Amino acid sequence: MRKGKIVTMDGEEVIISVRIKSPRPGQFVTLILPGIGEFPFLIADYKKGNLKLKIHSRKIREEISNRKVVYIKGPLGSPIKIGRSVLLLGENDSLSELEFIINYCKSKGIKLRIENNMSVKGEEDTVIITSPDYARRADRKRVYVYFRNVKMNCMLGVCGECLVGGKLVCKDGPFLKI
Amino acid sequence: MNVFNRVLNNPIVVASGILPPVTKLMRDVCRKYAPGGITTKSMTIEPLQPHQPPTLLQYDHDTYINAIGLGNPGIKTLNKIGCFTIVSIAGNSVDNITLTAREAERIGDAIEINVSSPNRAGYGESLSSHVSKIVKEIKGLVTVPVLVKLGPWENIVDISGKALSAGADGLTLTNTIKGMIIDVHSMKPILSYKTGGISGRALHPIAVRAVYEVYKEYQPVIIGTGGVISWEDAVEFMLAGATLVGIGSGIISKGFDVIRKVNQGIEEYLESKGLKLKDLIGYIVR
Repeated sequence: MRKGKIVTMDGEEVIISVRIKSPRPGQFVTLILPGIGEFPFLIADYKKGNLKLKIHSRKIREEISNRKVVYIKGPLGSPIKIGRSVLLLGENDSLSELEFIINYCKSKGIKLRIENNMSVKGEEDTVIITSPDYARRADRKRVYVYFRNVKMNCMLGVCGECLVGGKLVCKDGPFLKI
Repeated sequence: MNVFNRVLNNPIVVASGILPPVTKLMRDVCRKYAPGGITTKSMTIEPLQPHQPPTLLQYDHDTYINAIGLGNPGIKTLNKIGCFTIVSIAGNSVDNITLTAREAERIGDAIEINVSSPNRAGYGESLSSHVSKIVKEIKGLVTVPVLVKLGPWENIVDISGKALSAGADGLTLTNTIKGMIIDVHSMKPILSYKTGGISGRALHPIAVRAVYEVYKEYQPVIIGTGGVISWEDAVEFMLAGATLVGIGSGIISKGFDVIRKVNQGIEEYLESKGLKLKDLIGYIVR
């Protein structure tokens, strides 16, 4: 848990100054607001000690706007093993959370195709699906599904609250390989 | 390592509260990391919801504070694990915890009675004053060895004596120590339960002291637990009187591979000293 300072808030985008380990694509952090709770968010970006989160919840944004200091736990979860080419399947809302993964692919020259038709057809060796509602198997090395709305508690893999198909979303996910 | 008439691969057991209460996950850990044994999360007869997050925080280097609050899906959801299994049990009355012990015997090679968790009112340490009665009831009911897990309290020697006199076959020393962290900016406690149990590095010397004082008095079988991060920490516990050593926070910090590293370190230490494992137990008390 690290102390973070709110730098800017612009709509859903919140920038927090905090020293954490360099995250890998697919990892998340939790935002701890004492007296309110702990909330998981995918990392949208982390550069030079500035953590960017996209916070959809108006209630949480209002809570943050009343504070100068928050606490950050993480990076948590398991990184996605991204191959040489990626097919990202999802709808616009869910894709906006995946900025870190998209930017990672662009920065590494990894071929990226984004589709919202939920068809896994194609040549990419890595498929990332943004919701379990659209989970489907594909004959690829790596097919990951983002388990976004699973209830988590300890966030560190000990309490067992986030068990899905024999895996712990907080520790093995939140992108679980299927 | 011979304990309770069982030969264990090594003296390292996974401490309670680290493995999610899911049979398959526990079996996987036994198979992949080969600990001497595992301890289940504290189980109750009925399911218990954990407290609301935040429930587990890293407070400082290798030091944690938690108040998960004994959340578990109920002991009836567990099946036999396969490796040496200590089933940790909790309850909110003597009768309730005794009922849980009956179920625990179905899946465990030993039972650990949790009368020391500071994280749920009415459970854990709330029952510590009834330790004699609880041990007697459970010993009269089950045939597997019964351990009692105690906290790092000032009266540790006295309460250990009560547990042993009532028939406990061993002790697990120690549980976490109750603490609190407050965010000065919002002027609110950081954990949702407000207080929590401190584990890991900060607990280690306190737990070693507890093991030493209890071993000096009674020489029982002790599982030394609290802040084992390296093999040196484990050896410390054994020199103070522990027969087995539990790792909890060390697994959160370093991953399950810490089991192999600690065992390897102990083996190399024994070789360099020309000693056997049993020579270490209570060495500084002799």
